Amino acid sequence: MNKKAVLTYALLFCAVAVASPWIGPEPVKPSDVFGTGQALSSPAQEIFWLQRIPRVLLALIAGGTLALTGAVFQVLFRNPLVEPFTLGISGSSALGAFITILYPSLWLKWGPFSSVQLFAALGAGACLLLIYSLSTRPEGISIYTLLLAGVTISIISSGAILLLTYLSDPHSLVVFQHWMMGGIDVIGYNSMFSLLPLLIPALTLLFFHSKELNHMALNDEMALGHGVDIKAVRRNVFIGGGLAAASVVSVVGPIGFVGLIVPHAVRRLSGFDQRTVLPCSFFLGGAALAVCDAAARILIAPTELPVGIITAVIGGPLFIRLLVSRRFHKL
Amino acid sequence: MIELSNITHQFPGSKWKLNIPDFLIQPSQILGIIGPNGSGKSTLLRISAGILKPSKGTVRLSRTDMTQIKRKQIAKNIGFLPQETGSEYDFTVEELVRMGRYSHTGTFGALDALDLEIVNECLLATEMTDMSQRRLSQLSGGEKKRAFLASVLAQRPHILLLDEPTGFLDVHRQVQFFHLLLNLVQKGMGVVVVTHDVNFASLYCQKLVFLFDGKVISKGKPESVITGEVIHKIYGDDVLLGKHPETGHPFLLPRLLTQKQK
Repeated sequence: MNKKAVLTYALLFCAVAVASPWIGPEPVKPSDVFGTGQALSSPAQEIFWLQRIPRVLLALIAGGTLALTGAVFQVLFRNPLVEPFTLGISGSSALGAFITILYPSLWLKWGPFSSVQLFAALGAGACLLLIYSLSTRPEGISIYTLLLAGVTISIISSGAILLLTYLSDPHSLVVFQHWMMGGIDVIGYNSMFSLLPLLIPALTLLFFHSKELNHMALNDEMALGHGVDIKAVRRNVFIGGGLAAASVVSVVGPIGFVGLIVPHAVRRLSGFDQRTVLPCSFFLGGAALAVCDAAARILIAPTELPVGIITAVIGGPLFIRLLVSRRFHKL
Repeated sequence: MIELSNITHQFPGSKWKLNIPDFLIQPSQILGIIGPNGSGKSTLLRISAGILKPSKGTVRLSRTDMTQIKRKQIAKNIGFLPQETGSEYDFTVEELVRMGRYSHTGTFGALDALDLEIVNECLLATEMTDMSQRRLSQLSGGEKKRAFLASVLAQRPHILLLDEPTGFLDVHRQVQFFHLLLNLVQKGMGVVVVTHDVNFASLYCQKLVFLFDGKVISKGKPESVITGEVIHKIYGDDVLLGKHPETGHPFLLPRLLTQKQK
């Protein structure tokens, strides 16, 4: 494990966490926030504590999780293009969310949780179960079947969403389009808290398997020979990564490219040891999404852009740059 | 010690069948598994390593059914080097060798002083110390094979199972490789080598098993296995059987076929 790299990325993560709440269309100064003794006694304090801080925390957690799940899926399936999108998790999650948005009778709230989240998570869960059962063979999981099943589910979800879009009323369409573009413009801490019950156990499971993931980059026989129970590792990492991605997508919508680009960048800068790649991907992914979200707040202020547009605009060209890079085949 | 009894194995959709009534891997010897392509050498080795579950029969490691032993425990006893080695990511040689300590380390795989000493010993034994910081993509086929062998040796196994380990090596490196195996055997390790190279097997293995079409057709000391009758049965008139000029071990030479014989 490259402790120096992990520490560097952690410092970057902290620096972004400290700096980005101060960036936004309404200027907020430290003296406005910390100057008065009473909490939330001024508009600046409300903006800072109820809008900026929860939003930055959500961006850090969501970006970190998307990058981390991208990293684990890429090594698990030995494929550099895998991320929650290609496995169909994002598409099925979007379909679940859209169904809830279309039918107001399904739109419910329980504390920090909402039915949009629940249905998005159910969609992702159904996708995971389906591709897992389709690709399970007596000798283990067929990676190719799993990837093809994931891509097929993405296509089916897109088709179903198009059909529902055609049939839906304009109001639902606006709400759904906003969700689809990926947004972390939350108010208060409920969205962030609603992530944690699924996210904490899922991320813990993934970090506990970081050592085995190194062996998964070798071929199966070599990993088995080293003593890795590859069946159990595949199952656990698949479930942990799927749950983590589903819980994030259900709250912030399908934000693309973070899960794809960040792990490649980390491997390129800090090597291939997954015990380094996993925490560094989390820190860099979180920092990257928080920076993109800060840009989304100010680029066309006072109007805000959905952060998914920023990640796609920056991530697309970066990925093409990676594709033509000589080292891509070994990333 | 690994014992295989009444093993049969058939791949789904295939008529070919491996049939091994009994097979024993003992310490302090090199056992060679030889035979033509498709005879079942690699399948037998993978079953012995617990990598492949046979259709029927039992595999025992130190008298315990291997299906009852955890993979980590198997890895502490058996080192397995498959024919195909490779990595999706471009690890350094040292990173790869460190991975061999997996079964001996805790949750996050931190290595202590003893682990690092063993890693260095394995790099030295395979002559990879100078290349320890090179990435796998910067190695030749033979160097890569040695790096993977070092990783397997880092498991500190009692039994080493090697599938075509000298495939990418030149003759000089092959000789060195078998000398390395002889050193390990002198320290009490049991080594099994699957190889196409009957000559190296004859020279360095104390015992040979000749497989043909999934069955053992001959086993024992090289001079009792590599006989004119067996060689003629397997390879026809394509090879000549001779004796090594220094040791007297059986030796095969390719025959130049005339147009008529072709």
